[in-house]
Amino acid sequence: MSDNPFDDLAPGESSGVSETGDESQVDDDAEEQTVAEFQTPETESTERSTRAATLESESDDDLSGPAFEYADVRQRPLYARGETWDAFEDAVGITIVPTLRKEGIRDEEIRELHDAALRLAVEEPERVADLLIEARRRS
Amino acid sequence: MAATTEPRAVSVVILKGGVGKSTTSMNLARQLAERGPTLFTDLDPNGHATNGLGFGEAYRADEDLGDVLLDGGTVTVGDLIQPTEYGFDLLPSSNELEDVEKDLAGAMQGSARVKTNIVDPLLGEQYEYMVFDCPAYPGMLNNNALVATGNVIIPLEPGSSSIGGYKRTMERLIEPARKYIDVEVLAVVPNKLSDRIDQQTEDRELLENLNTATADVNEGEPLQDVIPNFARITAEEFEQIDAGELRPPKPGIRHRSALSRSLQHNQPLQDYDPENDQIVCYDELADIVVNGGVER
Repeated sequence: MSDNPFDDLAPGESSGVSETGDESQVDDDAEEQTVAEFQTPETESTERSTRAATLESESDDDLSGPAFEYADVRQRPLYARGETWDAFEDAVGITIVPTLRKEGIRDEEIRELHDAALRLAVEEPERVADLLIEARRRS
Repeated sequence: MAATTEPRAVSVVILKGGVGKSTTSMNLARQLAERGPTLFTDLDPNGHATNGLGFGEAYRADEDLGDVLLDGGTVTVGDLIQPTEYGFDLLPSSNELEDVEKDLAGAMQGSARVKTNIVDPLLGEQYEYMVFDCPAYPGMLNNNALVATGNVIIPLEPGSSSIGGYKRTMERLIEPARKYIDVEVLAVVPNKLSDRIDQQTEDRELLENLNTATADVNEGEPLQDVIPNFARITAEEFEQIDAGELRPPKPGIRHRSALSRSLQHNQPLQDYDPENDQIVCYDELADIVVNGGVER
């Protein structure tokens, strides 16, 4: 349902987030929090070894298979510095792929990643301009 | 929020690189060490602060935070903590931290591992204050820092992209976390300032944006209320500056070459250049952490 990255704090084999620890370590407000506040509607199973293990059975909306076929792509060269490609690949490995796995997607294609990256640029054009200007200032 | 002095942990976060996070967090830890036992944790996989303090060997050591945070870990946090010459202890980053982050993404309550393994056992016991230096990208390390500390300090540099970084940090990190936990923004800190503010410079733009912002940064607390005194300029003062009635102050943490040089010498500013005029800024940041907020 939600793509909140903190959803793993939902109750399970709680390791302490939902229990108020020793008073000296908790903000006043936190002391009044109940387990209920950490509930998310999507969790029903409380014992999981990993989220991924159960996600395959959970995903009702069918996310299997790429969003578009290879025949649909228009291939164009992208010119970027080596370090930028490295950073992009790191972001894919560290954040993007784990997020996809949580959604039960195990077969993402490079074309889907590139397509999404370009769409992000279309969504945030000002930020693209900022980054370019910033790079010139630094050079 | 009523300010109270009690043991406190704080994360220095902004989803943008090059803002001076490591310098800010390290010098904050240094000044907090004057006020009580302090642990400085480097959660940034690039290990700027760890290497900058001269702990390159610890950064490349076989045992790392993953051995503390992940299931089946055989190491306690105490095994990794290094004393420094500057009054605070260091929990070093590691060149394996990116892999640790991937593993945390698949772990049960992966976002709470730093809280349960580092902050809960040590805060108020071994340490009065804890400062976390965080990565510039969203992910499990940032999530852990937020859950573990519940308090953040956000450094910003002049330039429009910085405001974007602030917005991203609020939208992608702070707000999602607030659905589960309380997160208090203790301070937003203008950093790396060098320009006049009696003309339309980027420095002026940043300071004016922050100091006149009415949007809430915490519940019922506008952004301008969390600007430290060293960067606070009221609307009236801006008017007086523009009318030539007030000599333009030099707010924010100023760009000083001693700051970058101190890191090359593996030292916090206080130890590298004890007379430096910017130390007062880090002192105020330390007081903000001690008191749980800015005191006007």
